Amino acid sequence: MAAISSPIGPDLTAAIQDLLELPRSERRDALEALVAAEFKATLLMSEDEELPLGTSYFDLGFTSLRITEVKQRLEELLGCPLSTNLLFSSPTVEQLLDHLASEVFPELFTHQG
Amino acid sequence: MTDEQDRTIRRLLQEKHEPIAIVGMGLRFPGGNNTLEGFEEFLAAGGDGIVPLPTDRWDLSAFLPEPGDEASPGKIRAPAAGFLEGIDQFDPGFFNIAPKEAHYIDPQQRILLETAWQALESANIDPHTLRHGNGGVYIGASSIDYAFELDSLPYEELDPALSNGITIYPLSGRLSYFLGWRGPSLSTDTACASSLTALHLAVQGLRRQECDIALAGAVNCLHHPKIWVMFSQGEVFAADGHCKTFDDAADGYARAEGCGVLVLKRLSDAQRDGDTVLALVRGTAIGQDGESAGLTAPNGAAQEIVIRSALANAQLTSGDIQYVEAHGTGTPLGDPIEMGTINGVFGASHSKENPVVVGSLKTNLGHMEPAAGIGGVVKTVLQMRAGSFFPHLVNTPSRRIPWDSYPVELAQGGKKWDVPVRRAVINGFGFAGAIGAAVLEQAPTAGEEPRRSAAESQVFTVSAKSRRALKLQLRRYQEFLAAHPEADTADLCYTGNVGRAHFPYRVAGVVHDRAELSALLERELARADQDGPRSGELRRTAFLFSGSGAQQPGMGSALYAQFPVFREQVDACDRIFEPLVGLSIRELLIDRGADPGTFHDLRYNQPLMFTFEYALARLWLSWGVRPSVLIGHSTGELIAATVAGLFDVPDAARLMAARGALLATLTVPGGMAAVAAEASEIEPLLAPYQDLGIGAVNSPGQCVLSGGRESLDRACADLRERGYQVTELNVPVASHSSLMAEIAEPLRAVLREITFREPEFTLVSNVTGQVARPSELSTPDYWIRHLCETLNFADGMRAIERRGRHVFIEIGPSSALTTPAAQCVAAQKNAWLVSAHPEDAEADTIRQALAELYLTGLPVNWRAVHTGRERAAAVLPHYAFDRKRYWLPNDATRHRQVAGLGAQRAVHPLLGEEVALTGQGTLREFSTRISAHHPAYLAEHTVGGRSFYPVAGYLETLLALQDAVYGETRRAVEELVFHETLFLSGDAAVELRIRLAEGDAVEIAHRGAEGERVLLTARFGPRRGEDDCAPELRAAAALEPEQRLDADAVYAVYRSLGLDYGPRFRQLRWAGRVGADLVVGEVAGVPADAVGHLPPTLMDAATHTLAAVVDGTTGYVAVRCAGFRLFKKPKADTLRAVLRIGPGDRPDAEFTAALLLLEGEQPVFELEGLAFARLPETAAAAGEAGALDEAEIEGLLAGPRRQRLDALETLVRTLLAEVIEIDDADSVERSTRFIQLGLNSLLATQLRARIEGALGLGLPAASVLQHPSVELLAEFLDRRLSPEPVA
Repeated sequence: MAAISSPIGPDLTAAIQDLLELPRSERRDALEALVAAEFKATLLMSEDEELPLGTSYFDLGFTSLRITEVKQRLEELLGCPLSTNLLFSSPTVEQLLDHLASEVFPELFTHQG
Repeated sequence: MTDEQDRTIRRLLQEKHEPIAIVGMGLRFPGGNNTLEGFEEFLAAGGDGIVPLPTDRWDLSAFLPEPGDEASPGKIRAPAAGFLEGIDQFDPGFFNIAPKEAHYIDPQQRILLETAWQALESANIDPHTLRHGNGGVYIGASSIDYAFELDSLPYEELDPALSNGITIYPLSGRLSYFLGWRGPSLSTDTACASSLTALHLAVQGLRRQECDIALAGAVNCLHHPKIWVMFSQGEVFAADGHCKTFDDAADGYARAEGCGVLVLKRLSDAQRDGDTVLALVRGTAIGQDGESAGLTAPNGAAQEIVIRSALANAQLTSGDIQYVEAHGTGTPLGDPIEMGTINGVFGASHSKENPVVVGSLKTNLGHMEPAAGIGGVVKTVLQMRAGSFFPHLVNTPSRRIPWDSYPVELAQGGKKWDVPVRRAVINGFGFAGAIGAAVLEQAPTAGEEPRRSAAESQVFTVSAKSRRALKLQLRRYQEFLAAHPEADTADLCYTGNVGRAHFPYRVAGVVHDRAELSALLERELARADQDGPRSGELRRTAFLFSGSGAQQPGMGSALYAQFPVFREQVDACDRIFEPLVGLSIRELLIDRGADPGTFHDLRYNQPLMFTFEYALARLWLSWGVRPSVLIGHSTGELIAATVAGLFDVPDAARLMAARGALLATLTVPGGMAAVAAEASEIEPLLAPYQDLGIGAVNSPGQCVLSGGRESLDRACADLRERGYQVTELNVPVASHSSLMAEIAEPLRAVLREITFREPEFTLVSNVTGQVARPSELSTPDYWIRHLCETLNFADGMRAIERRGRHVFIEIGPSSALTTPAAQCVAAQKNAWLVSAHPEDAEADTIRQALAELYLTGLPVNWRAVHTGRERAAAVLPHYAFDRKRYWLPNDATRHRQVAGLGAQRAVHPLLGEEVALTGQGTLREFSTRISAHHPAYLAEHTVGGRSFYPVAGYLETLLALQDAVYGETRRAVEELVFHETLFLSGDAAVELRIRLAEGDAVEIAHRGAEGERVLLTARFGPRRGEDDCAPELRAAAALEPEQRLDADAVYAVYRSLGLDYGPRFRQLRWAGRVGADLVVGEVAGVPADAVGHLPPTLMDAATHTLAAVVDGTTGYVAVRCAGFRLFKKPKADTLRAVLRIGPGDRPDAEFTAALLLLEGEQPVFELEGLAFARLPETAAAAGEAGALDEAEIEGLLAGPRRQRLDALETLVRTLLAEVIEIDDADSVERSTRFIQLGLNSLLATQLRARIEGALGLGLPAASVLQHPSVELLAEFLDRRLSPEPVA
């Protein structure tokens, strides 16, 4: 996985900067909302519908093409490359969030206290 | 040798020889055996599982040898065998399989899934914890009977689900998929050595770390007569259906079904995980006969080599073995060879005085073929556990075995197996020469038995995957308790909590003893029918930390005594506080007799509250509860902040101690009082009092006055006079008032010494009534404001409510804070749990809260709950699967086809076989069975999503009848009357009787359990030439219509009527009117097959020309037909239909139609006087399950949104239930994901089509997949149906 070396730098995307503004304890929820919104948009789900985070998105109607779209949009949003392999082998939003929190942006999420 | 080298060698040896622990076993064997305990009893009593061949597998009589001709070919010469009960029964929902798909899945796969689940249950492993892990699945199997059953299905009915439904490979694949395991997964077929081969591979996989847990098992189901006949011709079966292993009467074997699954781990892992080890697999080996007297003849020398290599693999020698579970199928050739092998291996190490004991399970159950080896393992493990042998059933030992010279002895029931370490060898030999052997050893002596703690209450939990199944679990527990009076209630609760998977439908409660458990089961069972428990709606948890108020001496005693986490935290706080306050906070906390004066002293009171609530919060956290937000009232906010991580405990302790000490130094007397009124209403009334104000807003109906003693007393009197309810609080200080200014500076000095940290949890501030930013909390100023200013708890609660629905857990000694908290928000939408109660000396309150938390569906770490109070693992009832029959839709034909005749004799599927006469005056009678899937095209002839039998089907049936009786099809059929519509389901075939009676009268009747219903009557008329065939229609055939309706338009008309034709019926290419009463159309050819005359799909399509004359809003149904004639079988690619509409022939008919189908100039068939009646509303409603007509849709749209959604949900639920074929549409929850119901993409497409048909609405292809629950799909449909919302 090609994680960016240091996400806490000057060229952060607006979305990541917004996350940074939040207390650490609120960031995971905020990231979830951010990522889920992209998936919902692709699925034409409305804001208030709940996206099942633990179900494979392929079971929710995603095709590989759609996943590639979401991947691109998330990469722009988060300013980091995402592994295609990861998206296909761990196909739930929850697993993607875990990966983002623990591998891609550990500085943002791992509790330091 | 260096340490490094030493370690490497140890590791390598470990990988080669580490004992493998059997930690669980699941079984389903003949004799009704499906539990370990039951099977042990069965074997100890010398049970016999052999039964006469059951009648439900195939037509027994068809395969019975002719009397007097026992050798007649094509027959089954086995009177009895070992059979499982209910192999057609399954609970697809449990395994996320659509009921529709379940029909196409080999019962071996289904039984394996269930038995594997039971094996994991017997290991007390919650399989959910192993998902995404490297678990391995190793399965042996040989029977492909389900594939044989396909013989009787026509090609067009080969459902795609069959591709993973038959043959051997999906056995392991589907099991790994269901469990979510990523380790090796393979199905192996070495015939009767299959399961020992699977075991060998599993042991290897575990030792080589390819997997950390493995299932090794095998399954065998026998329901098709083919192999039975094959073996009968080979004369391998025992004449009495029993394996008489090592008996002089041995004359062949008895087949048996069965399934057994072992749960295996490396011994070191099993010990680390605290598993109950049932026995060890010390070593295994596999090999082959190689050269022998024949492919199927055993080779003793090769058998010896494999047993010896299994012993070597176990690092044991033959002298270490006391028992051999022989393959021993009961054949006169094989048994003596095997006994020779046993003598060859054990002759030198054993003697007549110290013989090796031999037995074979086959004498009890017959030969389970691929599952035989696993059966032998299960039996041997049970013998090891019992410490005595089960009887090997034998009358006269075989004279072919030289018993005197072999140091062997047949197992006698009850004989003690009394040696320091019990060890055994299991043999298994395959029909084509494969050999497998395993060396087992009794389980190592377990460590210390878990300490039996004093009787204390327990949380009992039981759960299921559906509401119906939950009832079954409750019943099963009731039966279990009745059958096991010795079972320990606490052990049951413990094992159920830590050792079972937890599903969404849950029951939980606190029980002290068996009587309470029984009462709980009884109560829940009675409730189960009304409104079953439901979980999963609350995803968030909030902790409510209470302030001072309800504390009393000893409030922590029960928690301290029972929960180590609580105890450790209290002890740690105590150590920190003791030097600060000069006495033991712990003693005040756990001593119910503590001096109340000391207890309520301000200096101690704050540290006490801190210690209690902090330890309590830690306890909840240890149970796996992750609060999404914390809120605390007054002092509670400081504790909440500590739990959140803003302060570390030593800093927090200093702050609490200083706060308490400073409060005790206040010079101005103050006090507080609660008023049951809105703060804004009270505030103006306080104007006269300089030193009095609102200290806290607790809820919309309650605020707290805080200030100088004297002012408070006067204000209280004043307010009471005004009619307010005022309660003075038993606190000698005026917290959150201006009086606190006196201690503000000294407290600030303490706060400056404190390190603020980044909190781990989110905290809501009562100063701001908002979610607090860490930066805001991390200043001394904030906490000074917190001390001096009004607390707005009510706003804080509303801030939480805005974040979603929560499970609120009060962290405090009572429910004091829950009461006002619940008044701040919509209480019903949230759950409210209380951790402690002043009167509760047993910690029942927190267990009750835990039970309620569990009922919400949130995860609970049960191991942590029981930490330090572990109980013995108990035997529990297995999950009660909610089973129903699932089988290939071949009921109609299997008896005939399996009789081996069908392949040669063509039988018309709609006419069936000739049967004995039943009707009065009947001359000839035929019987057939049809269903929505048989013939397959019937599924495409639907109204409102339900399949029904087409008129064209009756006509074809009558042609087939003519052909069968007269050898021609050119006689007219006249006076047809269609009496009622026959709806078809995919689940069960219905029987039709077709009769020809005197006077050429014909009748088609539906024969059901409740008797017969006549569907059609008609009469065969004379044979007529085609010269008099409708000259007017023939002449009109060449006319070109004014306007053509293309196929899409035609079928849109039908769809708007709820008639959704599938592709096989959509044969009309176009149709158009010619003048007032004529329609011409073009029909795509459907050639008749070998036994057919006029394909019903083609005939039906010719009538679709009606679409050009009907208006698409009114449905019609054919009620009778004056005459029908077939002139030739249709063969052309393109045919022309001509239809003429005429007036109704009788008052009930709206109109009649005459129809002619032509191939070029040549007539194919002619219909006259086909009378149509308006479809009665009631009939439409009955037929169109869930379908709505336009008026209904309009009505819906006009109605309120909720009502609309309810109606759409009902519609979706109904159609979904039809598509996946479940009986009870209401059992589908609104929020259940379709994928969990087994709705795959294929079925999703069908569901979409049904919805389109019912609503008369086109939908995007992925609509169903993108809205994968009843709720989501209904909302989506609502958006599609509704006009654009008005802003």
